[in-house]
Formats: sequence, C-alpha cells, structure tokens
Amino acid sequence: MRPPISFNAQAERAIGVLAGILAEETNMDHIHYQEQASQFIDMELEDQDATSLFSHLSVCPECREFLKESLQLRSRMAHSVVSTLPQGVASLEWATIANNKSRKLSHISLNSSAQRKTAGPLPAIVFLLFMFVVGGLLFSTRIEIQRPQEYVGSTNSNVSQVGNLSR
Amino acid sequence: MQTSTDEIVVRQVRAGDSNAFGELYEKYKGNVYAYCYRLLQNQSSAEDALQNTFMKAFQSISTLDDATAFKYWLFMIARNEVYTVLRKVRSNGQVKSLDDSDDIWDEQTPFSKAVQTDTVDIIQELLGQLKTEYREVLILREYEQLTYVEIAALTGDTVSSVKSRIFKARKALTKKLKPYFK
Repeated sequence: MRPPISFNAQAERAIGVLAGILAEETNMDHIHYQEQASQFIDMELEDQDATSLFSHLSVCPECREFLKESLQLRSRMAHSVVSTLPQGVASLEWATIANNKSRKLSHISLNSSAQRKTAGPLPAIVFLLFMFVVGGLLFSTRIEIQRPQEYVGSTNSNVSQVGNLSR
Repeated sequence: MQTSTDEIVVRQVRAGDSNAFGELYEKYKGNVYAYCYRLLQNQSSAEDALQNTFMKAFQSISTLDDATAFKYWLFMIARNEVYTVLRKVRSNGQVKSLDDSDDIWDEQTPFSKAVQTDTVDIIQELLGQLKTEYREVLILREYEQLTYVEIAALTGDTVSSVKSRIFKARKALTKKLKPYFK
C-alpha cells in the first residue's frame, strides 16, 4: 500500500504542472504575437489582429523587444543594399548581351530549326537540278549516238531485205 | 510593382523595338543582380544568372500575358536561374540539400568567426547562413518589397508558409545580430 501523500506535496505537484502548462502557453503566446508583429511591420496584419497585438505588446516586454529588434533589422538591411554593382555588371550593356545572344541563337538555329528547314529541300533541289541537267545532256548525246546506229541498222536490214528479194 | 513605364516599354519590345529592352535591363539589372547574388553568395554565378535571366526574358517576352507585371515575371525567371545554379552546386555536394526540418540555419555554410565591424558585411554574412528558403523570402520582402501574396506566387508556397518563414528568418537574424549591436 502506498504511503499517503501529504496535501502540501500534492499542492506543490499541481502548482508545478500548472506552472509548466502556463509557461508553455505563454511561450506559444509570445510566438503567436511575435509572428503577428512580423506581419505588422510588413503591413500584412489585419486590423482586428493589430488590436489584440497592441493589447499584448502593452503588457509584454519580450514581444516589444522583438518588435524593436525587427525594426532595427529592417533599418540595417536597408543600409546593406548592394549600392554599387561589380564592374563586370555595371559596365555590361544590353547590346553586348544581345549580341552574344544573337550569336548563340545563330549557332542554335544552324543546328536545329533552320538547319532542319534547309537541310532537306535545298540539297534535294540542287541534286534534282543537277540530275536534270546531266540527264538531259546524256539523253541528248544518246540520241545523237543512236541515230547513226539506227540508220546503219535500218540500212543493213534494207540491204538484207533487198538481198532476200534479189535471191 | 506595376508600372505604366514598364508596360509601355514591354509593348515597344513586343512591337519589334529590341533596343527598348535595354531600358528594362538598365532599370532592373541592379535588383536582379542583388537578388541573385544574395541567394547564390557568389559574384560570378550571380553575373551568369543575371545575363541568362535577361536573355530568357527577351526571348520569351511575347509570352508575358500582363505587361504591367514585368518585374514580377522577371524575378520568376531569375528565381529559376538561381535554383538551376543551386541544384547544380548541390549535386556537386557543395551545399546541403533543403529539408523540412525546423532548423533554419544552413550549417554547411562556414561561419566566419572573424570579427566584422561593418554592418553590411555582418548582415550579408548572416543572410548567407540562412537556408535558401528562408533567405529568399526575407530578401524578396526586405529588398524587393514584394507582398506575401506575391512572394507566395513567386515561390510556389502558401501565404501562411511565407508568413511563417519570414518570421522565423527575422527571429533568427535578430537573435544572431544581438551580440554585434549591443
């Protein structure tokens, strides 16, 4: 059987638990209100939330401190704006980038779309023209060569026919 | 960030005046470079990302639906460029991969213990140590003055996620900055 716990011990334990819960809730409250303070300095806090925030700030030095530090941070960050660009960027003009770009684009176009567009039809047309010219030349030569043969052949056949007739 | 000037110039570019794009380049090259540099923490990579961003913007400006949203659209391209570089760097094992843990400091980045007296250097050093997803939202908010909705659209996150990340980044930075500005 457990020894009976005195009233004082029970009360102390209960107070400890309550204090822990209260501290946790207070901490959660601080985070909640500090998040609201962050929104407030960004002008993103709703009006009704601003009212409760300022009620809390009036009694909470910790959250007031956060608000003050956040405003100081903003001020310091504003002073740390990169006011001078590095020489490479400051002197670089759009025309230079555009020229590089057009060079790259011409390179790209040769390898891709423009090349695809010209790669098929243009050489094919040239080849067809070439074949047409060569074919035309060959055809005309062949006619010229074949005509005497045909003539000879026909003459021979005529001769043979004459010979047959004469026999 | 909607400016009528941008709209006019974008229309000129679309109409075939490629020189007009130079105006947009001169106007935004500083912002885009700073954005790329803060995320990449490397001058050479940031310069490459800057050039690629504008080249791609010029090539695809006809796809921009709303000419008044040029800046926002430009930053989307810049972000893609930055993440392409970061992915390459990560695949080379130089940067720890992004994870969903609550730890928001990128421990992979070496923290210089050397005493820095210049505020700019301190801020840049600490920003560089934040994980990319936290650094990015804070940069877009503090330097580019984008709204939470715009940041969410740009990063593909929810607005509540953006709120939370900005808060965590701010909280972490203020904590780290305390010793320097006591």
